[in-house]
Amino acid sequence: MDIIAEPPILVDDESCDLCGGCVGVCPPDVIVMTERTLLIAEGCIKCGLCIPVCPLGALSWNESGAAESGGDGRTIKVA
Amino acid sequence: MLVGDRYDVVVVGGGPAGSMAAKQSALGGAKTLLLERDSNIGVPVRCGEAVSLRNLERFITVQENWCAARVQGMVLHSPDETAVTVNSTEMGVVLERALFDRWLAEQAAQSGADILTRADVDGLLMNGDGVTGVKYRRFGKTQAVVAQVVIGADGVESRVGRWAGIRTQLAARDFESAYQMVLAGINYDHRYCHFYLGNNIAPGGYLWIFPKGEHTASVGIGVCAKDCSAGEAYDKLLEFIHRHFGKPAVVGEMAGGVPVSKPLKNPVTDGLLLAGDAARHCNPLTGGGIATAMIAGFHAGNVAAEAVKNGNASARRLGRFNDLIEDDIVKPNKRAYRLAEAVGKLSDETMNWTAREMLAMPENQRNLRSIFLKGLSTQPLLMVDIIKAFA
Repeated sequence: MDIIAEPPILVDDESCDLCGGCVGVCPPDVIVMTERTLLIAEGCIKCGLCIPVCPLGALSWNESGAAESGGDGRTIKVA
Repeated sequence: MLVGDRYDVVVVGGGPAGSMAAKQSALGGAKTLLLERDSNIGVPVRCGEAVSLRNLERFITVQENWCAARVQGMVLHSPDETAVTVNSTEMGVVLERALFDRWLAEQAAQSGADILTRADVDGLLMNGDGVTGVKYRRFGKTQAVVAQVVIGADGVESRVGRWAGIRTQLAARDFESAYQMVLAGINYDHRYCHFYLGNNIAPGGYLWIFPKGEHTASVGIGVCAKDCSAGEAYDKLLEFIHRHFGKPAVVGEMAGGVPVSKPLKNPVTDGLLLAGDAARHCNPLTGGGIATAMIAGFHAGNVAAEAVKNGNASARRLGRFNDLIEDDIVKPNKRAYRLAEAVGKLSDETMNWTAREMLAMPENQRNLRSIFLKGLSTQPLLMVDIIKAFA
């Protein structure tokens, strides 16, 4: 699975409790939960459903230009 | 290696559904493996931990070490905080899930199941559309396990079903964002579970106080993801806690998601069964999922063992699971869903009025049925659901 380096959704690791709620609602199933963090994989449809779902508000839109234009194209390969 | 690479049944997830499934599967004679992602079964807890004694005793004998508190009923608090006490003929129990889940897993082990923690299942072995096993990561290394039947009990964030082509994604309206704090040194009526309702208190959900001891309680909130903004669950809970308890000691806190949809139409495919939160078996009205997870796990384990015995794990054969949970889970949850929809539309004024009406009623006639009949009296179509739901 390819993890996007500059995803449309940002995860605040300091707030995220790794409860997995967002994983359960993500339509394309691109939120990957590791032991320490959440990662957004390629295929995010920018629906934003994961944002209000988070009890702690740990997810937000990435307002930087790179994501607006569909990311900078860089992806990181994970197993 | 701690576990083998070939089993009859592999269960993904060590919660109540998974451990019940592993136990029944092993008792049924199947060589069974339970894989848990986290490093300790039962931890982290993501649950309000309240369950009815009757539902527990259907499957197990209550152990004092995982029983935090017993309650004699509930108090419903309307938006203007009119308190309606409902004494129940049915005792409730508030669990220590960390110990409870661990104990259930021990029962599965005692019945012959192999169990491994820190085994993060990250994919399925497939043969065409059929499931033939799982892949899991442990300390960065991937291992494969071949199985005749895989049982996905991987909770609200379940991915096992999706990998096999079962649509499990939840809509925002069918999802409760939850946050809970365990408060210590507080004063409250610890004989009851408390529920606070109101469109401002907890939009599309409720707020709860569940006893964990005389001066300790889990105080939590669930809000509908459709009706709230990011972080609202936490903010609303904090507001409530400050109002009721000032600045209490917090000895634990957790975030979580509660699936409050209708159950999956078909949690079965070739070589795979889904059970518990993974199959959306949680009660959509209460958000309670412990009892339904145990029921689903119980049946899933039995059906899996039977399939192994018959050498046939086709979707058709495993479909017996659907028959077994129909009356136990599917019908009651569909009913609960209709009631939840109706309750979700009630105005604060109607809830306040209902609460006052209930207080005018003799206490021995006050029960959940009479409350729902009163609160939803403008919706005659729901009468049958109410009567059946609170028989």
